Amino acid sequence: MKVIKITAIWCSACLIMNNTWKKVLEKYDIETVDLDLDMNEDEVKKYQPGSTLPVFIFMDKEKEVKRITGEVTYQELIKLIEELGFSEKIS
Amino acid sequence: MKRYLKIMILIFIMSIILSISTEAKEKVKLYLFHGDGCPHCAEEIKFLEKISQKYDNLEIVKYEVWYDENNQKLLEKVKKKMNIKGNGVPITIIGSTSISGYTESYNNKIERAIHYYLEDNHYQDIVKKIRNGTYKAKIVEDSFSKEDQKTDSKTTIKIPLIGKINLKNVSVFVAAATIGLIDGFNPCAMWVLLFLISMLIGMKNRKRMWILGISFLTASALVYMVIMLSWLNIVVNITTSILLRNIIAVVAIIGAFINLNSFRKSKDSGCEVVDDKKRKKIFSKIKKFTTEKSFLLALLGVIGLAVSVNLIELACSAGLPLVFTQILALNQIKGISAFLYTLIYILFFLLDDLIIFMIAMLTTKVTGISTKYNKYSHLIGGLIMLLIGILLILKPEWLMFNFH
Repeated sequence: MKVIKITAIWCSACLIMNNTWKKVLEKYDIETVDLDLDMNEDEVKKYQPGSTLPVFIFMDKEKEVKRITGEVTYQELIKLIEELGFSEKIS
Repeated sequence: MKRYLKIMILIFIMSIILSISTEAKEKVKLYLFHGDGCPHCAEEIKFLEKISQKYDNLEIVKYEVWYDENNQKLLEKVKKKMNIKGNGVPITIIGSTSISGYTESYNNKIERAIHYYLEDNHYQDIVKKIRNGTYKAKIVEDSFSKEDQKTDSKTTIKIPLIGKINLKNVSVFVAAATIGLIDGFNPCAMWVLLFLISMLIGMKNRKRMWILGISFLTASALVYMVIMLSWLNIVVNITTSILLRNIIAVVAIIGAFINLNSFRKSKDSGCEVVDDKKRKKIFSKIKKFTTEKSFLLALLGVIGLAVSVNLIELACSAGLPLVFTQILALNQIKGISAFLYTLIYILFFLLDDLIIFMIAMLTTKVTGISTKYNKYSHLIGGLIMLLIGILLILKPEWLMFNFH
C-alpha cells in the first residue's frame, strides 16, 4: 500500500501536515508519492484532489482505499494508519 | 435741599437696581464657529435650531470660518484666549465653556450649559469682548466649566508607570488592534505570501531576498493605508453622513452574513484551492521577478504584485477596513491621529504575515499557521461586523467611546 500526498507550496495547512507526516514516517514505513498541485499538474489531475488541500490518498494496488483532506492531528493519522493495517517499524 | 438729596439718592439706587436687572436680562449667546459643508457642523446647526425655540433668552450666533477670513481670525483669537486645542470645527462657545467637535452625544452637554448660563448670573459674553478687544484678563472659570473639566477628567485613568491614559484613545486603539488582527487572519491573503516566500527562499542572493520580501509587505501596507485614509476622507467630509452611515451599516451586516456563512460552510480545516487561472497568473509573476536579473525590475514586479493582490484581497476581507474607518469618522479622528490609528490597524493586520516572513528568512524554512482557526476568524469577524452594523443604525453614539 502507498500514499499519494498532494500539497502546494502556498498552502499553510500543507506545511503543517508535511511536518506531521514526517513524524508518522519516523514510526511507520509507508511508501509516499509527493505531488505538488502546481508543479505536477498532469499527475495530480488523475486523482481529482477537489477544492481542499492537502489530500492524502491511501492506495492499494492502484485502488483508492481511503482519502483524507485538510488538516488532521497526528493522533488521528496514527489511528487511521493502524486501522488500515500498517505496522510500526521494528527498531 | 434734604428732600432733593433724598430724591437724588433714590434715583441713583433705582438706576443701579435697574442696570443690574437689565444686565441680568442680557441674552445668553451661544457662539458656533462652523465650516460651510462640514457635516458635523450641519448636524449641530440642525440641533441648535431645534432647541433655540425652547429658550426665549438664548441667541445663537454663527460664524462661518472656512470661507470667511475675518471670522477665521476671530476664531484664532478665541482659541488662543480660551486655550482651545485642535484645528477642527465646529467649536461651540457659551459663557466660559467651549465644546470642540459635535456628535449627537454632545446634545446633553450643550443643553446643560445653556440651562446653567440662563439661570446663573456668572454669564459673560467672552467672544463679544474678545471681538471688541476689551477682554484682556485671563478667562475666569465658572462652576459649570470647572464641573465640565471634572467630567472630562473622568475619561482619563491613571496607570502606574505609564501615567494618564485617555479611555477614548484606548478604546480606538483596542478597536484598531482587534479588527486589524481579525482582518489579518483572513486566509485569502495568506497564500500569495507563502507562494512568494517559498520562491524567495530558493534565491541565492540573501540581501535581495530580504529587500524583495520587505518591499512586498511595505507595499501591501501602503495600499491598505492609502485606501483606508482616502475612504476616511470621503466619509468625514460627506454632508449626508447619516445616509452614508446607514449604507455602511448595511454593507457591514451583509459582510457579517458572508463571514458567518463561510464559518458555517467550512467543515474541513485545510487550504481552499484558489482558482486555477488566478493561481497560475500570480505564480508566473512571482517566478518572473525572482529570476529577474535586473534588481529594479524585480523590485517593481514585487510592488506591482502587492498592489494588485491587495486590491483584490480588500474585497475579500468583506468590509472590516470599511467598518474601522467609520469608527474613526464617528469619533472625528482626522489628520495625524487618523494616520496613526490606521497604522496600528495595518500593523496588526500584517502581524501574522510578518512573523511567518521573519521565521522563513531566518531559518530558510517556511512555516504555516494552522488552518484550524481560520474558521473561527470568520465567526469572530462576522460577529464583530454584525454588532458594529447594528450599532451604527441604532446606537451610533456607543461607537463614539464617550465615557460620560
